[in-house]
Amino acid sequence: MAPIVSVSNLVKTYASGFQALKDVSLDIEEGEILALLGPNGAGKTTLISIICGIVNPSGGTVLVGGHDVVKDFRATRSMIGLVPQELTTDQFETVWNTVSFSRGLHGKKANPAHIEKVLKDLSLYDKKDNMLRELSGGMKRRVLIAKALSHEPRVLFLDEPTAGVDVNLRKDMWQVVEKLRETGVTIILTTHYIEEAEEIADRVGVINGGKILLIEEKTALMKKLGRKQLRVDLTEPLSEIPAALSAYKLTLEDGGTA
Amino acid sequence: MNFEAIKAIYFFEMARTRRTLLQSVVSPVISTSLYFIVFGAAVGSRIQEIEGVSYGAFITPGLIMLTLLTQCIGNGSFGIYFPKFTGTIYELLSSPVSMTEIVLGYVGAAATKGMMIGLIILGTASLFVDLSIAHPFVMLLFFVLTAVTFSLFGFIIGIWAKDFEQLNLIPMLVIPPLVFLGGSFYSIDMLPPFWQAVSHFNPVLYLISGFRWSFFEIADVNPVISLTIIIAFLAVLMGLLTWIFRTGYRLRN
Repeated sequence: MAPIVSVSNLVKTYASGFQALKDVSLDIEEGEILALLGPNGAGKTTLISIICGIVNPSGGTVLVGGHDVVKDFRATRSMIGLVPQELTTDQFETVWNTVSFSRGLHGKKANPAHIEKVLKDLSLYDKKDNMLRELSGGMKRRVLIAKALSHEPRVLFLDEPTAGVDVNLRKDMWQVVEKLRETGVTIILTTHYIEEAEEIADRVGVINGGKILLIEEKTALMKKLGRKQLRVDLTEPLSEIPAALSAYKLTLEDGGTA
Repeated sequence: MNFEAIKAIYFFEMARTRRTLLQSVVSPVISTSLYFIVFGAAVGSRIQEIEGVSYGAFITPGLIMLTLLTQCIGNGSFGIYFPKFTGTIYELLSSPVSMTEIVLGYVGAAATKGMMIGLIILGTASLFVDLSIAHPFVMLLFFVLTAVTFSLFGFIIGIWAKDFEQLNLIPMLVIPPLVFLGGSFYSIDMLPPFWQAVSHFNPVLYLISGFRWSFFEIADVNPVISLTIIIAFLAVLMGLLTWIFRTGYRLRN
């Protein structure tokens, strides 16, 4: 089956000369949850922004559902929902209006039943008439998810959904993602936290310095990353491993000092 | 064409007007009433008729234009600048909406609001002076063209502005002098020849003159020239906007 998102040789150089992405290629399969793991400035948000159409690429191609994100932007953006990293909301709008607005922007006719379902699924329905400025940070994050789901997307991007939130809220968000998975939506999320990737992703991609360093099935990756190495520095060098420790696979290094 | 998106943007913007009804509608009505009291009643009573039109009636088209230009630029610029400021612009840029549709939504709403307030000013003016419109269709043509053109101008300012100071620079510092020196309160025939010549470099003179002609059939410049100037300005703005869309200037990195 063709991947739902296919990124080939993607390059992004900003006007300042900073190269945020260097020849990035990856395929994302329909229905999977992919976690992009990397530190600040790794290129995660730039990659998402290009796929979603917020940033123009400098080179390479991105296909979503087989359509080019630049040439056939209507088709690709109709399939995509984006939850940004920042809590960017119209403070004076009500929850219901802002979510309905998002659906309209995506060219979909008003469908109060769908909006109601999305709000109920995200435990927001009782807040539907509240202005966004009256909501907590966690609730606002849910509103952004509701906006992204308002037009029934096939692919959902969550840009650091748990950045700066407490442990309880993070676990709460993981449950939300788990529920979304059941609906068949493909989810791509970025995160700093390896435990988050381990908890919810099917595959994990590691990105740093604008390059995808690896992308693997979570279980395979965790096996690799899960291996521990113990190094003991000795005050006096040894010429050989003591007989009492011969049962363990130990090696001597640095002239027997470690 | 994504009509649902145009509709969504348009009604979203119009809803903002409803929320700020007091500052959007009541404030321009009060300031226009003050203009009529000061210029129309206090000063105007000492000024003789201008080309057969009472002074109070003479200044009405200029006052409507002052409000229309200020409102359209303000609404057009704020409409697109605010999402940039709050960060919600991400949603517009990641939606299946062409820039033309974005412009239709924002500029359409800004022009509608400007025209609504312009008509309220016209209604307010008719309480103070006897008004008759000699050429209603021409009046409507000038009214709509000016509203659309200056809403578009405001939209471009909103894209260009990096902060609130830049956002207010043109509406606050450029437009009022142009309107006041563009013959709102006088006919440029009253000026010395040098200042008459200088006034012809003021684009707002043509708007006010053409608009006034549609009311009283008196004009500082030929109304056809006035119409040509507005259409030419609209064409320049559309060219600028095409370049902005093509390059993603200050919208897409």
